[in-house]
Amino acid sequence: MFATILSLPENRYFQYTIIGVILLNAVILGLLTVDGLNPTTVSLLTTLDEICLGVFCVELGLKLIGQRLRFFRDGWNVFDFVVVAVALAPATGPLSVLRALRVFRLMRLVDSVPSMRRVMNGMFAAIPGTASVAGVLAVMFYVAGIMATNFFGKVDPDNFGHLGVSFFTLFQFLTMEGWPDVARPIIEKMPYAWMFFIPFILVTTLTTLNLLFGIIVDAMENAKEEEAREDLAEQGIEAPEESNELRLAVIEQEVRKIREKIASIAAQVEKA
Amino acid sequence: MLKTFSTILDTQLFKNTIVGVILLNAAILGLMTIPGLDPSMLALLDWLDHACLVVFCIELSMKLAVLRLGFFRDGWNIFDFVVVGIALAPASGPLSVLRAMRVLRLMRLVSAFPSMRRVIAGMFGSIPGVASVAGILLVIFYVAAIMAIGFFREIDPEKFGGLGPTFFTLFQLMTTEGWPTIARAMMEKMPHAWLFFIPFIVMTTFTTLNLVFGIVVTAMEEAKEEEAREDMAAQGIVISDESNEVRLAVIENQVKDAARELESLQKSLDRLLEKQSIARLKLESAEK
Repeated sequence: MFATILSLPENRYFQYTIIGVILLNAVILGLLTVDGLNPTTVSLLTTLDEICLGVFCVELGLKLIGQRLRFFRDGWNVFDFVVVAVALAPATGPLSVLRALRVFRLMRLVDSVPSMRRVMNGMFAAIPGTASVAGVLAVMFYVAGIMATNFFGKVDPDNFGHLGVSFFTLFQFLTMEGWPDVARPIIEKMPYAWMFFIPFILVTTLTTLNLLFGIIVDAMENAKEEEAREDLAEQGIEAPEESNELRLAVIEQEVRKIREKIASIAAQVEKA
Repeated sequence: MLKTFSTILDTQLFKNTIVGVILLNAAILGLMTIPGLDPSMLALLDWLDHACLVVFCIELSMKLAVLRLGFFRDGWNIFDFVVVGIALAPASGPLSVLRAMRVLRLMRLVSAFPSMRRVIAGMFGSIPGVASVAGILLVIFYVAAIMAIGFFREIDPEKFGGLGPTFFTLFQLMTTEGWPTIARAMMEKMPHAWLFFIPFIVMTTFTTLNLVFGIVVTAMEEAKEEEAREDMAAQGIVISDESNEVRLAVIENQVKDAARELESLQKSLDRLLEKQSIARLKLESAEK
C-alpha cells in the first residue's frame, strides 16, 4: 500500500494529472490579472490556487519521501522544490516580491513535458562549451563599462553616471536599440566619442552572435542525440557514447578488416 | 471522358497554361489597386478577373471529377479548393472581408511549382520538431505577462493593463524595438525593473533564435533528404526512413555480426582443411 503510494509519481496518469493541474493553475493566475473582479470571484480563484499549490506539495512530498536525498541530485527536482517553496513563504513585508514570483510555478510545465524538458536539457548542456565566449563578453562589458563611466560620466550622467547605469546603456547598445540617440549628443560634445561606440557595438554584437549560435547549434545537436538514444533504447539497440565521427571511423576500419579476412579465406579456398 | 480529363490534366501544356493564368490574374489584381482607374477599364479588369476564376474552376472541377474523394487527400488540393472557393462566396455584408482574401488565389503559384512546394512542405515538416521550443516560448510569455501585470499595471496601465496589452508589449520587447523607452519609464518609478526586462529580453530572443534556427535547419535538411531520396530512387537504391543515428547503430551491429560470422566461417574452413589434409595423408599412406 505504502509502496504503491510512493511509486505514484512514476505513474503516467499521475503525471498527466499534474500537467493538468499546472494548466489549471495557469488559467487561474491569468484570470486573477483581470481588473475589477468582484471579491467573491477573487476569493474563489485564490482558494483554487491554494488547492493547486496543495496538489504540488503532495506530489513533491511523495517524491521526497520516495527518493530521500537523491531527490536533490536532479536539477529539475530542485527547480520544482524552490518554485513551490516560494509560494509557501510568507509574502509580507520585504518578502512581498515573492508573491509575484509564485507565477514561476507555471514554468513547471516545461519540465513536466518530456519534449520540452529535452530542449532545455540540450540548452543547459551547451552552456559549458560556450562559457568561454560568455566570459569574453563579460570582460568586454566590464572594461567598456568602466571606460564609458570615466569618459562620459560628466557629459551624460543619465546614461553613464555610474557603473550600473553604464551597464544598462551598454546592454542597450548591444541590442542596437536607439543607440544613435544616446551616441549623437555625446559626439556633439566629444567629437571622438565614436571611437568608443562603434568598435564596442561591432565587437559585442559579433561576440554575442558567436555565443548565441554556439549555444543553439550545440543545444540542437544535444537534443537530437538524446532523442536518437531514446529511440534506439526503445528498439533495444545499444548506442555507444562516442561521437558519430569516431563511430564511422571504427565502422570503416572494421569493414576493411572484414574484407581482408574474406580475401584471405578466399585465397585459402582457392589453394585447397 | 474521365480518361481524357486525366490525360489533359497531366500534360505539361495544361500545367503551363494554368501557371500563365495565375500570373495573368496576379497582373490584373495588381492593376486594380491603382487609384483613379476609369470605370470602363475597371469593368474590363473585373471581367478578366472573372474569366481567370472560371479557368480555375474548370481546372479544379476536372481534378475533382477524376480523383473523386481522393482529391481531398492532398493538402495542396484542399488549399487550391479553399482559395478558389473564397472567390465564389458572396462578398457582401459580414463576408465582405472575403473580397480582400481572393488575392490569396495568387498563392496558387507556390503549389504550381514542385520546387516551391518542396520548400513549403519542408517548413511544415519541421513544425513537430520545433513545437516544444514554441511551447517553452509560450510558457515564458505567459509567466512574464502575469508578472509584468503585477509589477507595472499601476505605473502604465496602457501597456500593462491586462493580458492582451501586456502580450503585445512583451512581443515588442522580444523584437527589442523601442525597449529602452519602456524599460527606462518603468525604472524611473521602480529602479529594479531592469531585473525583469533584461532577463526577459535575453531569454526570449534566445528562444526565438533557437526556434527560427530549428525551423530553417530542419526544413533545409528535410528538403535535402527528400531530394536525396528522389536521386536514390532514380538509381534504384532503397533507403530507409530511419534517422541517421538509427541507421548508424544498425550498421554497427551488422558489421559486428558480419565479423563474428566470418570468424566462425574461418573456423569451419580450418576444420575442413584439416580434415582434407588428414584424408590426403591417409590416402597417401594407403597408396604406399
